[in-house]
Amino acid sequence: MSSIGTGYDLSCTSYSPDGRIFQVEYAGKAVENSGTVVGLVCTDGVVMAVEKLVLSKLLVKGTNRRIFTVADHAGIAVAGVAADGRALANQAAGEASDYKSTYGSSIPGQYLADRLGGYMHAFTTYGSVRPFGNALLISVMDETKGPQLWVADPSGTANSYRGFAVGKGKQHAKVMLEKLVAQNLTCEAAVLELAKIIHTVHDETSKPFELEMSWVGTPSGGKHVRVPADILGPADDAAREAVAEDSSDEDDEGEEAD
Amino acid sequence: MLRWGDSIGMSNVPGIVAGAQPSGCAPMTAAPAQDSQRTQQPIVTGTGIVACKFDGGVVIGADTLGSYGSLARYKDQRRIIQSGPVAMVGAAGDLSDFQKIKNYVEEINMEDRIQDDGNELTPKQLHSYLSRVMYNRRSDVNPLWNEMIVGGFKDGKAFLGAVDLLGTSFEVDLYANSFATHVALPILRRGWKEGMSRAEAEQLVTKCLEVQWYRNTRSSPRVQIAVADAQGIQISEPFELEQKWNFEGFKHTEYHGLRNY
Repeated sequence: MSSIGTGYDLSCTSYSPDGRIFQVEYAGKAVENSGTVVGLVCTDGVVMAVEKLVLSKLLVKGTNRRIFTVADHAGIAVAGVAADGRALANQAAGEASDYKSTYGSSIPGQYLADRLGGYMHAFTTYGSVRPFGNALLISVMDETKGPQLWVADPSGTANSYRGFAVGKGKQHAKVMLEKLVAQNLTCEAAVLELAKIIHTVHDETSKPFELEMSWVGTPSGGKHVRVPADILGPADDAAREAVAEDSSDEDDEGEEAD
Repeated sequence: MLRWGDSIGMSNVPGIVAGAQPSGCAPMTAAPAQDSQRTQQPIVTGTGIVACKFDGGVVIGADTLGSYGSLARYKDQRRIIQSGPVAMVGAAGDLSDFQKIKNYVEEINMEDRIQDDGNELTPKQLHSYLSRVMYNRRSDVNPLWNEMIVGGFKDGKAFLGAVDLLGTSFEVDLYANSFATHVALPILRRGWKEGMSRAEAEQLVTKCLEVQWYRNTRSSPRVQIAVADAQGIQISEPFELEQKWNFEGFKHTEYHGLRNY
């Protein structure tokens, strides 16, 4: 799907003859070339995982965060241009805080996603700004609706999913997620499964990666937090082993863990 | 020089005597009608808070009454709140102003959670923040009409700091505000010792709250005790104080007259 939009791709204010806005699509390319981000709605919460490519050996572990807490009960995992993503996370935190000041309760998932989507969309309507080069996975423990996963893309559309993946390995990840969605996992189980997905889709020839994961739900008391190190560490190791076994068995389905 | 424990004329009146204006607290002339009015007097109020340090933490005690002047109107006002994992704030004075302060405290802790870098607001930092807020409001002659105590335990150190509606701000080992300054402070001073245990401190504070119930007509026997120590913040559910009213002096008043009280 790499058509050149010569002449119709210089600004957001132009359509191409076949009705596409190329600048928004190019922003999508930034997302496609980023490390994989996956999210899964579980019976008791939402888990998200990021394949955080480590660009330099000098980086301190745990820095260059890709998952942000934006409210007590909500978090955002960012794919694409990191700095843009941080700006969006700050915007989301502001929205959530304003909602709480006005209405006294936690911002609902739909509301947060729509506001963020609307904000991103605004940058696709003017020639003087550029769209955000991000897809956001927004995990929310909604007060009334329970665990939700919303996804906002550079065009500004926001949709609710039971599971989703963006980034380099999204095709393969989505196939694996479709199977997981049917299994109605708990957050605890999903941590291992998402770790396996990330390890599976990671391209060994590219730079090494750090696994960053968060959850919001019963295991965290309804708060969006990073998956604790004593759970993430073993899951990371187990997933790495499982994938190594599978690839040496030349079976690339990514199942088979104990 | 203002010394801690001195009652400040204005804030010492917990409520409004029926119909009349509180003495020493004449309402300031309001700005022209179209401007919003500035805080002139507290309306629904909480009375004295008592607090002290012990070996390994701090304890704060308060009753759960919101007085509407002399009317004991709201029986379940939680006047001690937790701020993050290691600090707490107890307040006397206007309770709607305290609700606003509660919002500020929650917001500032939320900012820490969002930063997510392992830093959490220390009790001392919270105390400093509240001092700034209170002093700035005072400088606009629109105070948040409260006297507060910030308590917490972090990195092996107990912290207890006072802030009030004037922005007066200092650290203490023991504390009482509002009416408890008169009633509880002498008891605290006599009973407190450096390095006392948690149980002793809780007992002392409870005793102060009991005496406050006997002597302060704007208090209630339904109280909360909150402790900050290495385990974090534990704010008890409200409980009823033990009360003793069967004193000799209350019997046979035809013999004793009014002497005993």
